[in-house]
Amino acid sequence: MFPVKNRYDEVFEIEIDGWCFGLTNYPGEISPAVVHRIIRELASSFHAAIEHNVVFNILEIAAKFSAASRHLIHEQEIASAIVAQLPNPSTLLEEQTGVLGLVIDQVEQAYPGSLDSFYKRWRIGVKAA
Amino acid sequence: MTTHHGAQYQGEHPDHERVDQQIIQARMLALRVIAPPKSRIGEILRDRLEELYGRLGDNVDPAKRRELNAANQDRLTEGPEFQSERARQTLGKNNLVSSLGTPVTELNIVVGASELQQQAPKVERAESIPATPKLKTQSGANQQATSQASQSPWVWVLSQLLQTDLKRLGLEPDEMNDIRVFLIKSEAAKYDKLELLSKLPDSLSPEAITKIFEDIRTLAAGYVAFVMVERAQSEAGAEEELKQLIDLPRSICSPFYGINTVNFDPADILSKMG
Repeated sequence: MFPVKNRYDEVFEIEIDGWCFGLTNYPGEISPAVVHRIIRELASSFHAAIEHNVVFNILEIAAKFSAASRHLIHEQEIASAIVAQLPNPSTLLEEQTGVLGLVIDQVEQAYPGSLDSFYKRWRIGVKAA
Repeated sequence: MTTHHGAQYQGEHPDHERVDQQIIQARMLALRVIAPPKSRIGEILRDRLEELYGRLGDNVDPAKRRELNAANQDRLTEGPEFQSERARQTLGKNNLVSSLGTPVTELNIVVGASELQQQAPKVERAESIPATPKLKTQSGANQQATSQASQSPWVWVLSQLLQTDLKRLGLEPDEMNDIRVFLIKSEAAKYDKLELLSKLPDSLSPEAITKIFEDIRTLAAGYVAFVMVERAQSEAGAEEELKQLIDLPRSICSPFYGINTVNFDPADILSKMG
């Protein structure tokens, strides 16, 4: 297991909880587009978490967001949206790539095909024509 | 060894200022080693909070925003947004075919008001898009069409049809959402041309989404700030307790530090004195 840098796991958890708090306590109506916008906004946070060796649980985060959005979006859809925001492995160091692998593996176990989708996104294993 | 306290130190040591500095540094070092730096988590959270505000707030320094975005620049050009745009262009060119086998560009014809009225009661999950868009008042030949359209959850049905197609294309959820909104807006534009529609529902309006998003972000930032203060206070309290427990200042700056102890037996001295 990789050691977490600068206690970033705590910071990451607080930030995710913050967004869930915002979604839960927003007085008006929310739409799937808003939730997707938040997930997109979190792309840099996911990247930072991986850089700090935080093996975060996407399934737990997806469940939190799904509940916070009053089950407007299914957990699987949120999990897929999060996977879509993960960084390109080719831009990461070896250690960080290992962390990324552990992160995606959890989703792959729950929802097979997530890894393929991730590979396609970053064109991993695709030979140049 | 140099001393720094007592009569021996005062005015006698040539480098007393330097020694003083060393002691201060040692003290600080000891504090750092024994106790963690004060509110480290607070510092990290403060930085994070600044970034959170900086990314989205109105009072953002453009230079800072550029700096924050620079790291993700490469990704953005090859990431979902770019792919969404690409997919959008592809869809535009290829004239996407709906699950009913009808080109999407003709869906405004397929999705007739009377058909939609029949389909509407079957809807179980229509929370994402309001069913009834606001309509302008019409007169003459358009009045009947207006009446039908006002009773039709056309946006929702259209959304469902498009979603089926987009799922078949194997797009990511966020891309799918973007394209769905884009296509619905395209259809809405046709209604607009016919002067049947005055305004898109809020769930499809980028301005409304941005407003909601920023409100949620403010709530999130408030939460982070609250937790930051709470953590910082608890850590500062723990540090104080630790200092009291080990009595750190006295142990380092002891007034007896550096004074040699002399072992003697008073009885022995008295006997020598006779």
